[in-house]
Amino acid sequence: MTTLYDAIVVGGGVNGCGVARDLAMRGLEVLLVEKGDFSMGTSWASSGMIHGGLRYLMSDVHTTYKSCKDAGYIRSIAPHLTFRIPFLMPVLDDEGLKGRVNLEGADALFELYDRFQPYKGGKAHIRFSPEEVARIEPLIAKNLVGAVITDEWGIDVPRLCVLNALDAKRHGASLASWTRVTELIREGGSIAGIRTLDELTGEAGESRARLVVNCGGPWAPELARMAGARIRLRPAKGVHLILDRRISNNGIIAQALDGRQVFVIPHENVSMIGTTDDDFFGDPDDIPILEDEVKYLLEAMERVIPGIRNARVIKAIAGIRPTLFERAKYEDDLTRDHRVYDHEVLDGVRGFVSLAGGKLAAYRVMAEETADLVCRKLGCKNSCATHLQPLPGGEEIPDVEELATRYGQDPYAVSRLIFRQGARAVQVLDMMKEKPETGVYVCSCDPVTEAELRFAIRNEAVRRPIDLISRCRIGEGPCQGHGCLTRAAEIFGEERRLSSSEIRREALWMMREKWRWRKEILGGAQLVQEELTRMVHRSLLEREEGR
Amino acid sequence: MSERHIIVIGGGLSGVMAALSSKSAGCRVTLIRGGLGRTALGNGLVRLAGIVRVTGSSRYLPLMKSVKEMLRGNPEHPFLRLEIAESEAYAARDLFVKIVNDGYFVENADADLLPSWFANEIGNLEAAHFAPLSTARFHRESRESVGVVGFSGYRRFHAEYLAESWTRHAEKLRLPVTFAPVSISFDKDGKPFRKPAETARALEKENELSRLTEMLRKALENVEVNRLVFPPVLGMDGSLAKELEKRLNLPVGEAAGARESLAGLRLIWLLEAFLIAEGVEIVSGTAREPEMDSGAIRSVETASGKEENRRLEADAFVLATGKFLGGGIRSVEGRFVEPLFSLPVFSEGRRIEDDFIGKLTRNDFSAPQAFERVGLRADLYGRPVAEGGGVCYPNLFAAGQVIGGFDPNREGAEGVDLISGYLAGKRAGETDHA
Repeated sequence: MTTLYDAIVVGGGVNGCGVARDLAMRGLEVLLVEKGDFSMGTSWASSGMIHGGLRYLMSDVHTTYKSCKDAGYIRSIAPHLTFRIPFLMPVLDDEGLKGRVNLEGADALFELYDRFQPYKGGKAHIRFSPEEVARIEPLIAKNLVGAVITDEWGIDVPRLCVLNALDAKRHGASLASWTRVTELIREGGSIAGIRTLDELTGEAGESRARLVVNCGGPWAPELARMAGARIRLRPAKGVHLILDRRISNNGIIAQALDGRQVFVIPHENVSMIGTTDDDFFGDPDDIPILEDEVKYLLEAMERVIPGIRNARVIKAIAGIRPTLFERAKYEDDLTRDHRVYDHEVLDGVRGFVSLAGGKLAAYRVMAEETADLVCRKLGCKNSCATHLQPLPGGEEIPDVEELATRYGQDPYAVSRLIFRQGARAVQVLDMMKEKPETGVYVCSCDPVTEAELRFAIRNEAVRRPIDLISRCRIGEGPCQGHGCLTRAAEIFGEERRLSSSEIRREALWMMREKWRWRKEILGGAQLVQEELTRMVHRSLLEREEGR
Repeated sequence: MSERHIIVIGGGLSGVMAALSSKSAGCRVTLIRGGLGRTALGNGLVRLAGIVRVTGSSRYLPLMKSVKEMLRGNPEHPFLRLEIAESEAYAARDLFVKIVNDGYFVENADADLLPSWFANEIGNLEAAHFAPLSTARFHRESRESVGVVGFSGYRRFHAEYLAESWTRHAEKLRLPVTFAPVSISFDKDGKPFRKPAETARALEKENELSRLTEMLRKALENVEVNRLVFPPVLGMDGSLAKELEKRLNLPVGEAAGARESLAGLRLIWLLEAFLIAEGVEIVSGTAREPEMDSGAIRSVETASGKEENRRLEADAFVLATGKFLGGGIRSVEGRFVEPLFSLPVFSEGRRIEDDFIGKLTRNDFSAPQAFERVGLRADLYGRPVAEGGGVCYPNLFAAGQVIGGFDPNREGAEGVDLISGYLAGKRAGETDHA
């Protein structure tokens, strides 16, 4: 007999994972379905910032207040996953009087923003002289009027998605990644469930629910169409360039050719340059990165960081913002607001609800609003608790030095482990203590041990080796998986008793996926790495003999 | 008349071939070498050409036929552009054989030369024409049962996984070889070895080697095998394979390395020994700031950072600096350059400069990629040419991966190194090129 779920959430990005967690915590029977791995669409390609909505300060103080408050909640439920990003806005003196006015304006704006900082544990802004800027960030151009700095938070988004999904599971939800929705089951004027295709086994499936929640992001309009309902987005492409290391300690803002603001931010152990914002009418499953976009970003940053072209770009990522439809506006001016669609009211389709638009920083409150509507429809009276209970591992952050000493492990590796696993880091370290051979680093770009991989494979809803990229951040360093992907596939294969041909297939799949995001930026040292990677894996590149 | 002086820039396989062929033509030869490149980082296997399977069967083409097959679709391949005669290809092969004789499997390179099969660390059987002597080779004919020795904790070499994987490949290739795991817990005071070189150095100590031998004797009591394959760590130079063979009374070999390999370094050491024996002067450092005179190259400066810079003059120069790994071709801010002589860079016969790399790559990782074929274009003497086909410098010859027009991983990288290196050295040694 098939389970009748209360709700099926379609889409395993940060919204879908957040909604699933919220509904599960309110005691509903939930199924979360994602066609790839969790976070593999827009969430994965975001800037990874939970900012407080500085840009809305002039037009909509209430949004800033809400954003800051929610950023504070996210901080408190996943303290291990977040990191402080001070944001530096240098003002160049080649802008003449305008530059000076800009500096005063930014100073005033940041001062207003200071009032909201306490909600998210942020610090007050500071104004710097050119000399002070040169001391803090020596890479910045010398022709400055000055700079102001304010405080924001960064987060590991793929892990945020995964932790939301895992917490949903802890509260009784079922997770189905690598499961594509092929059809919505309609009964009368109502959506009664989904038909699915398991991308791994090729099996067709069917799940029934009282209500289906569409959290498809850029794919949401397509799913709505399948339901006979309508969502109108104005999708925009955003591209980031990822550098091999942190080139600055602060986020640094620069003005692009068209007057837009772009930035370089430290993100975990790398830096990110972003982002573009352009209408995109293509297929969200196949997002090209264009020469113009790469050059646009580098040109913009070069004014503020003259040596930026010497930096090593290790990959470029692109995602589609599922922004709500508006006409006669530039992409940047499109609202970052979200909308919860009750299709019963809008289109006469019962049992179908959608969430669209919004931004990463608001994921939790968006999920709450969506869950509220779902609960109203299903007659569930329980209220939201997602801002009160920590995500897995967020209960407390262990002390790096103490754990490193106690387990005799490298402090840096332990700090990275704690960043990802929080309080659960101890379980991984225990495994390394029991079986020292699992303490070997599989990936040395971001020291990841075999024990951490095995822990993720056993506990973190991993269905195939590529899922380990978002769980443990393997293959994200300068070598882009040259050293670790085949090893990760082998370890996965050992845990799940795969045959060598299955392991090989999975390894090749990972190599292919990684390749897509570096093929447009191969240059300098990355081209050298590519020759090495292809030489070493040349036997993997060959066609399967005898086939 | 004074002796003709040749400077070879690059100490990989192609550079050494060039140096030695100039030397045997009676020239004085100086070889300038920088850091480790493709040869040193490779796994020591040598493919003379692409490995081509006979359509509809599991058999592979003999060497000369597979060369013809490979060249049919690619007019830019250096083998064609250099108009190589069969006799020259054999001469190049003979020179290589002479260099590595003691350390490599060498078969008669007649027209029927078929590739042999070598188990590699990633779990594949990799075809190649020559391989280090210590690397285990599997024949089409001899029925063998091979024990795969894995040290627990030496995680790059998992005996169960590799045995299964190699057996499956052998079945596909119809090789009469089967593999069985022999797992032992050989580690370093309870901690796993991490790196190949660390393991190899440890094994060079007698007490470690006898500890390993004892463990193996015990493990082999219950397994019926007539050959053993080890991780590629049997001594820094691979010579422990022979020693273990004596102690265990079984043929012993290493798998071909993959992710981090000592085999490439071992090849470099063989090449170096031969250079020294033949009296080639070796200068460590990078070559820079060439000086020209009436259209020809007269000298380059060497810079090592350790010794004082020297300016070296020569009658002819061989550029064997490799592609990206060696630094022979660079992409700087999106522009492809040959950094030493600023020679024009080509892809598929077309001059490229600031081409967006996305135009030289394809979405499918496994598909042939144009950027891998990037490099210099040579005339039939191996001299780099400009866009219109004119020779850049009459006394500059290119060798190895710095030449473009072929896919190193599919079209026999080492074959191009050997043959173009040999020819570049030979032609640089001659005085007159019409």
